[in-house]
Amino acid sequence: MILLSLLLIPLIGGIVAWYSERFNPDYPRWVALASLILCWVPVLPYFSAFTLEQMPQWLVDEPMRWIPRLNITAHLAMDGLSFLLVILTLAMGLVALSSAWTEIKKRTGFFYLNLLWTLAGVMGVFLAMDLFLFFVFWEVMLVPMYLLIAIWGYENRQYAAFKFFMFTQAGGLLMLLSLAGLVILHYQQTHILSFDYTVLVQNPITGDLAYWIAVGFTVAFIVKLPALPFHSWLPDAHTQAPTAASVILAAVLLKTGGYGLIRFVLPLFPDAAKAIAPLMMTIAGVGVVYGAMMAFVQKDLKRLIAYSSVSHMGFVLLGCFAMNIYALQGAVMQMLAHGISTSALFVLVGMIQYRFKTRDLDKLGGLWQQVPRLSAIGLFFGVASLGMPGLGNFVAEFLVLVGSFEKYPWYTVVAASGLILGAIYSLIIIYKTFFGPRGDSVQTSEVKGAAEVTDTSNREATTLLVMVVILVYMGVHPQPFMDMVQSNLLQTIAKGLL
Amino acid sequence: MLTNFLSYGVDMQIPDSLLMLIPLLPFVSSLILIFVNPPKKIVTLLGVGSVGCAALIALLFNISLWGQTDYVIKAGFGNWMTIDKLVINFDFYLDALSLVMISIITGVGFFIHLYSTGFMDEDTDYRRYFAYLNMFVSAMLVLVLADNMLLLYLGWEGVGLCSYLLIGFWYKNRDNNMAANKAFLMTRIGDTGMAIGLFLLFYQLGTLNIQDMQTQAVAVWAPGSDLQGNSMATLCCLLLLAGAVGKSAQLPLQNWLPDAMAGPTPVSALIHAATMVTAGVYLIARNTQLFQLSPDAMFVVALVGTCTLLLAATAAMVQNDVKRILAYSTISQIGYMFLALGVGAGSVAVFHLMTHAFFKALLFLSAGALIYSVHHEHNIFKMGGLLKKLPVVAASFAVGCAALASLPFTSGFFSKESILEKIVDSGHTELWWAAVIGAFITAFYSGRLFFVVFLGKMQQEPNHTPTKTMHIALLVLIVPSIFAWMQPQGLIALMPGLPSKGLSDLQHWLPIFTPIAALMLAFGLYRANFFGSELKSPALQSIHQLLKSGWGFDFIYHHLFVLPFKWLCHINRNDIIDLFYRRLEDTARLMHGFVTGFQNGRLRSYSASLVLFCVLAISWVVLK
Amino acid sequence: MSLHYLPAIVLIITVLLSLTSLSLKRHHGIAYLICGGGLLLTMLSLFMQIGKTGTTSELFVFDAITPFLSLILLIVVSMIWVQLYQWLEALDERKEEYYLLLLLATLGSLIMVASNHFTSFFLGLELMSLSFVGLVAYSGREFKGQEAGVKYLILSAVASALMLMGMAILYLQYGTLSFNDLSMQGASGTLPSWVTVTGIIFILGGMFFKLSLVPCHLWVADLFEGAPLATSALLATLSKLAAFVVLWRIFSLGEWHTHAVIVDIVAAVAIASMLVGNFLGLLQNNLLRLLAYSSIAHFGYLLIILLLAASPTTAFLTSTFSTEAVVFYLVAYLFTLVGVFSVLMQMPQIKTQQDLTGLFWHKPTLAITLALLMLSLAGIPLTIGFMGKFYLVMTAVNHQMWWLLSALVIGSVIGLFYYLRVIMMMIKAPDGESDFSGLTMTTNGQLLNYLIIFLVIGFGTFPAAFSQLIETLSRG
Repeated sequence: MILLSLLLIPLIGGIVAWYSERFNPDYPRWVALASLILCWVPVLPYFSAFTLEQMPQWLVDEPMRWIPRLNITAHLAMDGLSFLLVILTLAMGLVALSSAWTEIKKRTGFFYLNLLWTLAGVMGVFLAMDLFLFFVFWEVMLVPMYLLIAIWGYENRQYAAFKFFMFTQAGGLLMLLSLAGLVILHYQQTHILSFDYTVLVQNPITGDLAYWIAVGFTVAFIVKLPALPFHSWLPDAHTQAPTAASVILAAVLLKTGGYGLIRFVLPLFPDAAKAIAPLMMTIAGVGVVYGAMMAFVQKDLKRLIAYSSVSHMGFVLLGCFAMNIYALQGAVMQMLAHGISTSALFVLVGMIQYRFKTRDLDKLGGLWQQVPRLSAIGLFFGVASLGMPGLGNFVAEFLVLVGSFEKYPWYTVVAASGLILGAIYSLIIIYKTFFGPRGDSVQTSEVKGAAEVTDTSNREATTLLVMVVILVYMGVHPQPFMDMVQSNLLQTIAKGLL
Repeated sequence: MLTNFLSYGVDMQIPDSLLMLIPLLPFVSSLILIFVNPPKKIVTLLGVGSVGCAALIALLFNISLWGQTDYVIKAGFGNWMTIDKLVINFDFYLDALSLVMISIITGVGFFIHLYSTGFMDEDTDYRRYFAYLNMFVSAMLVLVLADNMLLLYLGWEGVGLCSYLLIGFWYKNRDNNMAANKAFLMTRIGDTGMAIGLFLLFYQLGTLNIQDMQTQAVAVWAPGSDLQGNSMATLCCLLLLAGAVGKSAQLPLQNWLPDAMAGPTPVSALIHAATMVTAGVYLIARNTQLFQLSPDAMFVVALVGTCTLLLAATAAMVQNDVKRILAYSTISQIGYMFLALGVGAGSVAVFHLMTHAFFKALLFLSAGALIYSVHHEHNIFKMGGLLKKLPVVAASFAVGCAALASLPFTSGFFSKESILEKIVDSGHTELWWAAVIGAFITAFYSGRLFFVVFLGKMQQEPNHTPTKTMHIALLVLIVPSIFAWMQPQGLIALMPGLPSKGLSDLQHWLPIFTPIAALMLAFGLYRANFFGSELKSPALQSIHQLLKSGWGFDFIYHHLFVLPFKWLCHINRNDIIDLFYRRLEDTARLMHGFVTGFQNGRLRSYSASLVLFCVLAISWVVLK
Repeated sequence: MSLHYLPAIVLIITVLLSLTSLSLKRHHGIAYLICGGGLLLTMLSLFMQIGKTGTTSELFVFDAITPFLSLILLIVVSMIWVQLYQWLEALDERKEEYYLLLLLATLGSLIMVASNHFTSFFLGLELMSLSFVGLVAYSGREFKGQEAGVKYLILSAVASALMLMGMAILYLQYGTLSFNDLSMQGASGTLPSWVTVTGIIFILGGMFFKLSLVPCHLWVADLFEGAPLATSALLATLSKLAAFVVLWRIFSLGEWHTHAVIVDIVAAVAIASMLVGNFLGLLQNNLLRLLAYSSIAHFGYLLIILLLAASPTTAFLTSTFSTEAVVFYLVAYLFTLVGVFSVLMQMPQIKTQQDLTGLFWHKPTLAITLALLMLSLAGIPLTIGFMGKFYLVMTAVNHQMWWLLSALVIGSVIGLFYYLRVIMMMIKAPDGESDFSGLTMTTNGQLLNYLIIFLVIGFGTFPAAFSQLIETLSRG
């Protein structure tokens, strides 16, 4: 019931938050805060797993009956990988909450309902070990996310929300077909009807059809990742989403794609994964460069960061299909580190937009004079996103590249050029926003003197500094995170080698 | 006699773990300065004191290891990451090479910090300055102490970042930002090559630990092994070289350094002359055994060094900006070090690195004092006759220029002489000639610089006098600039050079007289009022222009790489792939229009549709 | 005369009763109650038969699944009936006849669902169709309604004519009109097979008209828009369900899938319906037209199942799995659709998507119900519509019908757009123009909304009991 409660707390909390708006529009955020903090309770005992010598296969395993007719179970389980991602989700949930705290003034109740439900959905994705259940969470988490973008987004929010939903749903439908195919093929080959991951993973399916099924799953996952050529929903969604939604989107929603690849595609279809690996490596390599180049020419700060996400997530894809332990570890690290660094950047953009009412790079500039604390933190995260050693992103990118270099040196070289291009767009962020003379928007707000632009409040600074600390910790001591998933990833690789 | 006495050393044991304090002290101080806002005095105390303490510890190590040649001290913070074969520790490794390096970094660094307290006294961002500077020192120390390549890379990127921040320290000016960006990106290009080199080395040798790498490399690519192994060694070395040329501003990534002079002058002294830019030299010296497995790569290193030293020296001849002159001279001097490395004389290269660090820091600091004194004027032709007004600056400038020109009995003379000697030993006569020509040009522009600035008529009355701390730093640095005559003992043991062949008379005397001749020529031309005057001939003018722009590399790169890249990005600004999806939308809209067209509300067409179905279906049957 | 005819008898008695009461004294309340009572009793009598062993007679078939489907029909009708009183009160017409026609149409559809013979089928079909003509043209003062009525009359006459032609040809071939005997290949006839196929095509044409499948789909939007709301609801649910059940029965009993060309034609129609239906809906503003188009697409999806018998069954699950799938999908779709209509009946002034602007912020329950129903139509998990789609996909993948599946995927993605648009409109910030002050929420409307939410989410989340039931039924 531990994992179930992990899902139920935000679900119920969301409803309570919505209801509480009737009494006071300030209540929902406190309810949301309380339920998010409460969510930590069930997972706290498992922090002891960091000290375990040998990671068990599952930290928690909760099979539950659901639809016996099709042998569908509500199987929730948590291993090291799920644990890390759940922790990330909860932590970034708090960050999102913090960024929404004053930014969201309208319809607060419904906002926090959607925020909490998205988090519940994402955690469900990370915890579901039944493929049907996984699919359900996979799809359902999109609905509250869609509402977050469509209701509280910026100028062009409806278009962005549509695009987001259509892309991910199209991928989802493909996954639905593949899921059905997988189960049926597995039934034909073993005469066991099951949607359960632990059952399916024992006898990987074979044959031509298996290849296409693997492709279906992969496409669904890389749409979410997002990788080329399915990335184009992301810039729009990110740009238009309110800060909190951007944070959730960047920090955890994209990670479900990478998670899916590592959890499902690689172990369930080892042969097919090997077969499509060159294609995926190409997509990843090109994606890294393409995303970075696109980021370079953006005028909208959020859009720039969104494209940088495309570039960064290319490393995840690269790591997944390089199929060796370094690269996989790197992919996991990249998911965590990117989750933190990019969402921090989104939080910063949110703060900038809140203060200067613009995200246009041409109108920003010279923020260091106005808001030095904010700028210093911005500098830090800008530098993090270009992969500075000593921060989590570097460990991740290094491991991915080291790993993929073994079998795919040329793809690695292409992807490594992303390090240069990454520096270009990261420097642009820093250069155009924080340095230089004051930009137009920065100036006008001063001239008017209407509202004094203040530097980061204590709440904002604390949020960001905690993220700084985590990122640095991941950069200098990533070992606990890696130990968490090591045995798991080794098994995955062993499957591929058979 | 002297060496004999010193070789006994001082019998003193200091704990190895003290080594860890060296990079840690400035790092912690930097963190404190970032997060806390103490009063200015405390800032000074922390900023300067931390580096001072590190310097003291380095001094202790020097004393305790004096005279010993074969020593290794290790200390570590523990594990960074361990996956399978990839084991990376936060381990520091101190041998003769890194000892020299940390001594330079902390020693020179300390005096530059001290000097900065005067130079930056009036700056509002005093605290930020020391935070960056301490961070830089710390990163640089990690770089040279690192036991494995990844930790080295950490320091490597760290110094790059600090250099970026310090070049753009006065961030309100867009030009400074651009210079910082340029420096970061150009070095990043090299770094990426180096990173790829690390991947390759890891798979070839199975480790990233520097010492293990050397032994493994010797085992795997032993001389006389198959061609493939040799070419792999060459590839690895060239990739490492890419990183080295980036950081050390060598061809073809040299043109960021002159622009990097946008930073405060003490920064230029510390980072862009004495320490960071020599990281490339250090990297190759560190991997001597690896490089020696590949003669081809060695020759490339020598070639890069030679070309760079000539190119930069010629460029230095025509600059107006005092800092740019020094920047080009730095590039040129590092070219000498690369040349030395390329001919297998690592110890001599590091010797030159050391002397260069002293006299170049001295030069930059005195240039800083000069600029500080004369209304922040950079153009040498707007100075002149400052000998009397700024005696200490003039003296230190003179010493610096003398060492740079390698006049006999200065430190620069000994190190450069050794380099030339080693080139002869390696048998590359053509490189020797190039190096001598370079020496001539070096002495020439040193003379030009000194004469124009300090002799003649006074153009501008100095409005400041350098502060006391600045003077102290200058005076202290004069000493090693003159008297650093000896190669550190340990280096020779660590990197034994080629057997000496002996020099011919020409080879012996020419280098000694070259600088003197060059100085005389410079003086003559100065007297003839040649410098700074208009050039009459258009051909000369265009050559002058070409040299002044550093052989036009900026222009070439701008058109060859920057513009095409920008163009490519800009034509795809709307994301071609997204356009595809937009077309898809349009198609759907069109389809909607098309199918809606049939909904015309007419009963006759509706009933016709029923018939149509039957007709179509039956004709299908018939056709089948 | 066994118990199996009881529901029909109850209905007939109700019709007579209501006719009598109408002729004696017009009273809306009484008519409403008589109709409701009749429906309730019919449901009860149907409920008694579920799980009983069935029989087959010459004209009718009473297997395990028939009473269940009939019951579903009745439930759907009752759900519309619940709203009817309120809705008719607002209508400026005589009200009592509506119940009469409603009952007659229901009777017709019940007959169709149970029919085992072309005669009973045609009888039921005509009874239903003719009642519908009355229902469509019920509001005598509205031009659009009249036009729709005429259109429906003529078009269904054409369709009936086609079907009669087809039946005649089949009779020529087989010498019988019983569905059971159709499978006896070329029993007595000596005609070439293309003639048989032509006959089949005529029947299909008629059925496709009733199901509004491409290319016989053109009428449906005009009808939905023009007819009174309740009639549209009945048309969308009652008539289509009955027609589909019959088609399904004839198709499998007659083993029509043995004709390759028929399979091709049906597949082509299915693909065309999925795509055209969704394309039509894409930018449609009128909500009723939107529903009409969406129903074209949905029956396109359902046609996939019709073809399942055609492909060699793989060793997956039981042979009844496709029956299960069809029933689940039908039920899911019908519930969803009737839910949408009952929501629309609660707000009669809302015609287009623009009218919905900001509904969520005024009437959250109503908006949430509608939104959930839209998600169910789009097939988003945790709604009943998704479970239906899941069944469908499982079966289709099992039979490896990749072409149809890809059309399904494309169609679904397009469809998603307009379902989402409805939701988008509701959550938009109110623009001040839209006025919901006229919307009064009745208790029974509110209750119905909760029921719909419960059904859509409840069966979507916990379909276990439901699927178990269907499985048992389709086995029996």
